[in-house]
Amino acid sequence: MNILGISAFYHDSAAALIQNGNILAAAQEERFSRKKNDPCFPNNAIQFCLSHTKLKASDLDYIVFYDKPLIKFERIIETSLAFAPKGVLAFCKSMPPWLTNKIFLKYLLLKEFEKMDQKIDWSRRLLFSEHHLSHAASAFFPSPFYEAAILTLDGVGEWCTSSIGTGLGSQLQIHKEIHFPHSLGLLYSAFTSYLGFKVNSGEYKIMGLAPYGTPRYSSLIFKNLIDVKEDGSFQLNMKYFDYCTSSRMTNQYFETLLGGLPRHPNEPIETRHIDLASSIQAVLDQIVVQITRSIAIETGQKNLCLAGGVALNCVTNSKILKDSHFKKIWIQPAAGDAGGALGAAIAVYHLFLNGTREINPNQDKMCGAYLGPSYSDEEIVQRLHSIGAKFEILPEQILISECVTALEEGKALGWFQGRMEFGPRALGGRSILADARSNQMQQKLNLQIKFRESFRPFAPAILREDLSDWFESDLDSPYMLIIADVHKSRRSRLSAAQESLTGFAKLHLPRSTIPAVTHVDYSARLQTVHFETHPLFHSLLNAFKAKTGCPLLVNTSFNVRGEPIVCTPEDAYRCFIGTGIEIMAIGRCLIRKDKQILTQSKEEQEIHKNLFELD
Amino acid sequence: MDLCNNLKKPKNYPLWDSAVKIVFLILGWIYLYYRHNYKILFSLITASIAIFVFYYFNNRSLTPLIRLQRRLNHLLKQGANYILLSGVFFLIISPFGWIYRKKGNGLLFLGKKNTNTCSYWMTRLNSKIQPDSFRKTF
Repeated sequence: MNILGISAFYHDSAAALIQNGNILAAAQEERFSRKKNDPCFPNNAIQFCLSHTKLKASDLDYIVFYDKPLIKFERIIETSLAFAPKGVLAFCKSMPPWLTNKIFLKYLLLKEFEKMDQKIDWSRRLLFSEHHLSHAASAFFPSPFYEAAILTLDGVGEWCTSSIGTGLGSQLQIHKEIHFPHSLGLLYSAFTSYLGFKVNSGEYKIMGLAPYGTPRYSSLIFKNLIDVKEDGSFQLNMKYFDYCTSSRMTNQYFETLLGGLPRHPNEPIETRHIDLASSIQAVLDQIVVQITRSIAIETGQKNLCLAGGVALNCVTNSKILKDSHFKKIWIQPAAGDAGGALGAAIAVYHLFLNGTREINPNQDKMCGAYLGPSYSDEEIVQRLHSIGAKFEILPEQILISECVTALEEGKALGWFQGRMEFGPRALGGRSILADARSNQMQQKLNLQIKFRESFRPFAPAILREDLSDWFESDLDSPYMLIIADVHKSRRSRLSAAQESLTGFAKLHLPRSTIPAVTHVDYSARLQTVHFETHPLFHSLLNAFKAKTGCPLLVNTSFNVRGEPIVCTPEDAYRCFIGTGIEIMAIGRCLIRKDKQILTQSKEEQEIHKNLFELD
Repeated sequence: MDLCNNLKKPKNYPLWDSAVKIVFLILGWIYLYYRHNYKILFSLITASIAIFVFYYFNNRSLTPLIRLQRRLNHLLKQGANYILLSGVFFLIISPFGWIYRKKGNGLLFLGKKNTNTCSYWMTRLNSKIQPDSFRKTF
């Protein structure tokens, strides 16, 4: 039974293919189209899923769209009714795409599939899941739990913005919901927008900014912007938000309350902005922990599954873990809308077709999130030749040894190995790696390679077996969705004067023996590397450990600011040439920057950087 | 979205070429019919052929014109949409919304802090997912 899940037409389109409940392939359209968060129909991602599994379109038994378009349309109309005569511009802007395309989404989808194979009656095979059901299914069914409570939190689906459910074997039920416009995702996005970052992509920056500040606005937010009940359920005070009636997230009441105009993206980040980021993060943490506590008490479950865009907030996830009302939590690595494609497909398999579920308590079904395209060595060689790259083909052990030497010398390594990751994180398939022990590495990676703000932290990828020696945690975190503090024995002693520094003054203090991955509050967004899911990455870390005694590396996504993560060897080579990455390993091919005929001047690098919008 | 994407990529646009030819030919025939002035007809047909030849060998040169035409179309379409939709909004949506609110129907749960309730969670009526629901778009 082959089921294709699709998410599209909002943001971050994706396709995922499952066969008898097993996930075979999944990818986001942005990786192929090279447009960040591409909302178009995921033609390329579908073609990839089919070609990877060697299936034809006619082999697909069902196609599932990840939400219900007509309920979404109802929500838009009802929102207009609720606020009219305010919101005429938003109505005029939102209606044309609905009236011309989205309202006929079923026919639009059928047309797209008829292009693939006209002989098939696609209308019998086309299904629709609910947005939060797709999220819930993506969180529970691939998890290693037989039974669990499920929490989904995001901006908005059809009506629902938050939901609580339970899963048992191959069954899943959604019990409670909170509806639009009351949304934790939109509250966080409102602050993202107010602080001058792009909604739906700048939220990570707020999370990264938060530890630099003090949450002095938290009580103001709780008093005025959101009413939270004992069980964590909430309602926003819509007097302060404009997202229902305009393209702005907040209004003048919000600005008056928080004491100033929104920050322009080009303005410097001030202490007030940092404190606001810190405050909204603290508010989110507190609410989500309240919700999970009440779920634990109400459902009596020991396991929790999380999905929805808010579940990508690893600080909040760690707060849930620390609260210890749940013994184990599992978070869908593609927790955003892209993961909805996967969830929709799995929901159909278990809830529509009554498919059985096999559970391995030690291993989830996400295959380490390595579900995207991969390239054979022959194909890589041929592709690199065609773009004029100069490279050496090396046996695996020598390749690893060369990479370790380069890393030890402080070079940034482009690491393109195996299948591409599904979801927003690079987990060793399409990564830029560097030595975390270097004091200058964070600045170098941010400013010369990623072209992004200097305050943004980097994550470590660490051998699972060495985790507890370096961090105050002993839990698996294969998807970089949990933070942990650097082990006390690895921290540096700071003077009283250094300790008293505030804001960005804290940035360049070496806080531990691995400063490139130690955030200002000693936290790090962990990826534990397991031999079972990525043996080559595991070998690299092992070799680095053997040479330096350090079992971890900085792991950041293989892209520049605002660019989708690289997908093909050509994308990787383009990024390599356009940035300060000094060496790159693609399959068995090792490419050194100083050997390339095609290099870029600083001006050309600037052009490359500006190809992608600042988020 | 599609429009913007297309604008970024100059494309071969044979329709434009055909349209130019047809317009010039029609004008030529009109002149021929009303004025019997063969000189003008000849020059128009010559211009048509010249544009065709020029465009055939250098089809990208007309891209700015195509862009301009598309932007104009887009603006006109958007303007018309705005006028029409504003009408719908003020004549239909606004009065209905006003009536709803006057009747006390709480759209979107916009009430301020509700001290009477101990939870904002709404219990879902069909917590068990009905297989049939997958067939529906609503």
